Amino acid sequence: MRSFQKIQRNTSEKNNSDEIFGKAYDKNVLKKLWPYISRYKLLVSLSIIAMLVYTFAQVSLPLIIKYAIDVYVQTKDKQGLQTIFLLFVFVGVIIAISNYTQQYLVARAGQKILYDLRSDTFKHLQKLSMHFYNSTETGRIMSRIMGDVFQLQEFLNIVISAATDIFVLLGIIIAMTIMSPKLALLAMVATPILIFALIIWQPIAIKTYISARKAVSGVNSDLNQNLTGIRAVQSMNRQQININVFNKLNLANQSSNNKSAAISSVMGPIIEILSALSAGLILFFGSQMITSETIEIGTLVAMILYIERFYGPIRNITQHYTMLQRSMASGARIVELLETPIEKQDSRTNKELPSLKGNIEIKNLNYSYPNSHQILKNINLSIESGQTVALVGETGSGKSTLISLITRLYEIEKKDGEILIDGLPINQITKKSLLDQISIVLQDPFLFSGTIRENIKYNRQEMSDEQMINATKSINANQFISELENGYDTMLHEKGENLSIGQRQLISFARAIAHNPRLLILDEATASIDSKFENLIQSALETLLKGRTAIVIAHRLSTIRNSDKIIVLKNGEVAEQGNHNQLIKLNGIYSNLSKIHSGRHSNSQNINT
Amino acid sequence: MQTLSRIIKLTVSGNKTLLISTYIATFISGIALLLQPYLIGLVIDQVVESLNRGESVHVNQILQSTSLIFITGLIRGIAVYCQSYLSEKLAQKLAYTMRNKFYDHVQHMDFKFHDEFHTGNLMSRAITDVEAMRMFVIGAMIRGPYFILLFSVVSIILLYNDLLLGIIAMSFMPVIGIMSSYTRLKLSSIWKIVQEQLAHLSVILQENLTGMKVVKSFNAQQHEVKKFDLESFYISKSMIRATKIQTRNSSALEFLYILSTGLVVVIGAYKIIEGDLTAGQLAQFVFYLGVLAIPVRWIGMLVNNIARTVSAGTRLFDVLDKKSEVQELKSPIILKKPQGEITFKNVTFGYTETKQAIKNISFKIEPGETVAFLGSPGSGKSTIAQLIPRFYEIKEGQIQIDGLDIKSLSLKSLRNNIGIVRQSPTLFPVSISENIAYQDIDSNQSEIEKAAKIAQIHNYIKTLPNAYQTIVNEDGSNLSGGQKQRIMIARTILHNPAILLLDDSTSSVDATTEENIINAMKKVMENRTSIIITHRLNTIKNADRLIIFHEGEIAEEGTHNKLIKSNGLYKEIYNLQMIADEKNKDIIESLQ
Repeated sequence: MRSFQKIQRNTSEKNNSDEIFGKAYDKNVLKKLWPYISRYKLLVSLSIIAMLVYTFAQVSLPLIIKYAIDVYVQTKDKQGLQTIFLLFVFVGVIIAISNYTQQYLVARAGQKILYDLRSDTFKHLQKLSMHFYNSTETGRIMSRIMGDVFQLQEFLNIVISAATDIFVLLGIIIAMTIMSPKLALLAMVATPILIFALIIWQPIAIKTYISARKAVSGVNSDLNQNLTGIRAVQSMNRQQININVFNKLNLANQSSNNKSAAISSVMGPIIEILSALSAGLILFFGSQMITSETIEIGTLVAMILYIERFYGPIRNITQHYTMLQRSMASGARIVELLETPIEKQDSRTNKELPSLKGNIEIKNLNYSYPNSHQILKNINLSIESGQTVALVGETGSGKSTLISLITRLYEIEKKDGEILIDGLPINQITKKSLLDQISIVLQDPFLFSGTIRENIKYNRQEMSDEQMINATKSINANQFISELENGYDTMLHEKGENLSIGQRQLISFARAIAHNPRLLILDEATASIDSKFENLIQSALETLLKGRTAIVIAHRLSTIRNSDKIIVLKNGEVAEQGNHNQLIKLNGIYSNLSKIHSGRHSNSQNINT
Repeated sequence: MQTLSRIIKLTVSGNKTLLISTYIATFISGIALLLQPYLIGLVIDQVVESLNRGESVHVNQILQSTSLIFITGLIRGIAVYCQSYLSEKLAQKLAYTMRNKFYDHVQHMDFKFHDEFHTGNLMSRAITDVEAMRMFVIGAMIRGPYFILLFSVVSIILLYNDLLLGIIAMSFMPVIGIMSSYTRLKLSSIWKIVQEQLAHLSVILQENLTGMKVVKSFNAQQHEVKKFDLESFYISKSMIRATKIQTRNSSALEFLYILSTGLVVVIGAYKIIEGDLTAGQLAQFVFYLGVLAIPVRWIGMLVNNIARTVSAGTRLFDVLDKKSEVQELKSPIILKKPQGEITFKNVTFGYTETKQAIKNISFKIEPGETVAFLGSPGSGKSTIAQLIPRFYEIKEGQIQIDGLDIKSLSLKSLRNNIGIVRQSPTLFPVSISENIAYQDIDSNQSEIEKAAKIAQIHNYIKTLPNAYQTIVNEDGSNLSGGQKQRIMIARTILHNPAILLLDDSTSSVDATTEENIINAMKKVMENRTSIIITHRLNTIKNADRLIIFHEGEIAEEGTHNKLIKSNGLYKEIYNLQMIADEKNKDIIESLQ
């Protein structure tokens, strides 16, 4: 739990203060991510070798020009010039090949690493408990995988290109020093100025960059809000006020972006000026060295060529530093997610449940969610194989929690009490063998994008079409599906939005039935659909429940009344249990509820036309 | 082309001075860039000349030319700064203008438009497409002329100085230009694929996370991992492919550049030996070759930039050029406080051309009357509520308020007199107090609290740590459906409209909450014309009259008693309910 909160805190910090830049070096992050890189050691090492070759060849070019001028022109060796040309071609080929090899290998390794990381993060997410999902917004987890993992792509690119820059820089310094240590020193004379400027400039640049980003996200979120609520905006005539608010944000964004541009535009010109200064110095002193014959004319040309390439990498390295900070921050967030403790997994000693008979016994069960009051208090009840049991109670009375514990959405611990399925403690059964035999239909029918077929056969694609169609027929859903243009191959949009809610609920029912469960759980499964579909399902239920154990949460009295047993929960406790007639005679909560129901709660009856 | 010229016009209008200063800065930086190789060559020639004459160099002469190099560097630096700052400023100004235009246009569009363009779609236009325009200003409008200038001047210098070397150097340029354009276009088509794949991946992820309960209860984690990994694999593949194409091009370019440099150096050296060329000129050539490479490489980017801008511009102008069907008259009537009489005269309307939602509807609601509209989803009852405030334009029939055609009224005054409580409450991420006073921003705290008390939400708000100053979460997650609905009601009470529309306003809350809301609304409905739209019977307790809709038409109307007696659709609905729950005495009593 602590680490969920940590994730939440950090992400909310990110939202509030745009914490995009972290430490440039984070030992824990690197330690955790290193195995992903080391898996592709060979690819990475090969690309480093290619990079070295590339830098070496690049640095050699001005030298070749120097030799062409100083050796062959001086000696008027026209034949020798051919060698120079061949040398150019040769270096050109080397550069092309090494460049290609390096970039390709880095991309390959990088993509493999990212794939692994995405996959592992996703797998980890599958193992986190529902508590995590209850307390963490989807959008935040999404941005870990969609944003932060992709941000890490930068990481490898940065490391490689920073390394390239450093090697180019070293190569240039070495080449210049070999040609003339004195001129080399002159060439680098401006470096301290540059580094000093960078040190001052960088934090300011980051600050203005962050404030520009904040400003733009302010603009976007205002736009998003008002587009989402456009219907309300128009009916309340808020357009004029809203455009004024937006205009203010938009103006603020413009000015903070201008400020950011004013700062970020500084470094380019400084480098231009410094390299002109260095070139001037080299030419001035170099020309005098030529007359004193300490250097040759070609050396001077080569020196100028080096100067042109010298300051670029220094600037790049600082930019890389900023990017490194950003990917480190992303890395830290991913590591945090990967380190979120997973829920208890099945141990080897867990037993396979052969065929679920449906005897459920709950003994002294207490349960509370983390940081929350006690939801279930000392529950004792038993459900016999083949029974249909109704759970009745107000919102918050613990009905859904009880069901979640039976389906092991949440795990109970020893201190919480016991749930026995066919005599076995629930957490000593393998999850697969248990859940394969249970189907649950929720109030909100959740469907995946994909075809209707894929949805009904969810997680069991090997299911035969016959089994699928039997399931839809059994709840009278076959007809409407067949009437769709593409029948069972109709593609559902996200959340199944191209079907009505009733149709979606029928499909989610069909999904549950097609999996042929031994235990069927209906959690207010017909609450949100209109009567046309409800009647279809109600009439089918009786047949469906035959031979199966069923737990039903419903607020329709007719469904509840016919069940074998009614359990009334109140504030997490079993208040009454028995069948309809027994409970009515008891003259307690149920009988009272039944009266209210028939009087006020007839809203579950929709108007049928 | 039309799109581009529109963007250019928008950028230029009102920004002439800024644009011209940007171009001047750009021009100066270009000249300075071109001067440097010339000066370097000059120094080298001065040195070589003195060498050939066997003299030592003229320090003053060299000092002069090297100082010139530094000065041009300094000028160039300043010019580059101005160029990059000013062009960003210009681009930001365009982005600002576009965003404001877009925002104001979109928020005045009718609901038909908003049905077609969802929030996500409009957001992406406002974000990515505006960004593409910004890039166009910097990347094409400003740099375009600059690079064309650079390219032409360098070509002239090269060809003028030495025809053969010039031709050799230039001959590679078309190849490089074509190659990079081709690559850019190919890359952008891959990026499109990657975008789609990313969208798929994010759908898979999103569904997995929001449907985690289903995933876990089907024990389908493995299945989900497989789905995710497959899409994730495709993304990796596309990314590697993109890198391959990109790198193939950049490697070839490097090779060509080195090859042309090699040719120039070797032939140049040959010419020096022959005495046709000076060392300084050769050096100039090599440096100019470097300058030439900049605009040539940029052609690829330009092709991409323009392709992006045209599609972005088309998408943006597509929205900006759409006219709302709902238009005010030139001098509309201002509706003061109306009596609240609503008349529909033969109104036919469809959301799409092909399907009619309501057909030839006529009815009259008297001032102060409460009328319930009943019917199954799709019967047309909700459409009525969308038409009275003129959110959609009707083409047939007439709607009147107090006998005035709503088309003759000013939209503001029309909507000002209508309060709507919808099925899904819309709250904004501001304080509760601001949410209640969203329409009537001048209300004082006691008025707000009074409205909240009538809406039966005051007591709850008081229990919150920040009470009325509590900020509503962006996704509204800190309030329950019923609480939000009651805040909406408080908002309506505060506004005090003459006409009240309750569109399925209690369908998303539980029974107890519903009871509370209905009670709260009872008080609100007093003394105003109210329409309750619902498919639940218990919400119509307060209605004076019922109108039953069926397939876009009015099936029946009248009081409860009259409709029960007439043995029609309403009776059928009513009976169905009675069969399910035998003891509906409360509701029967309330209706009788």
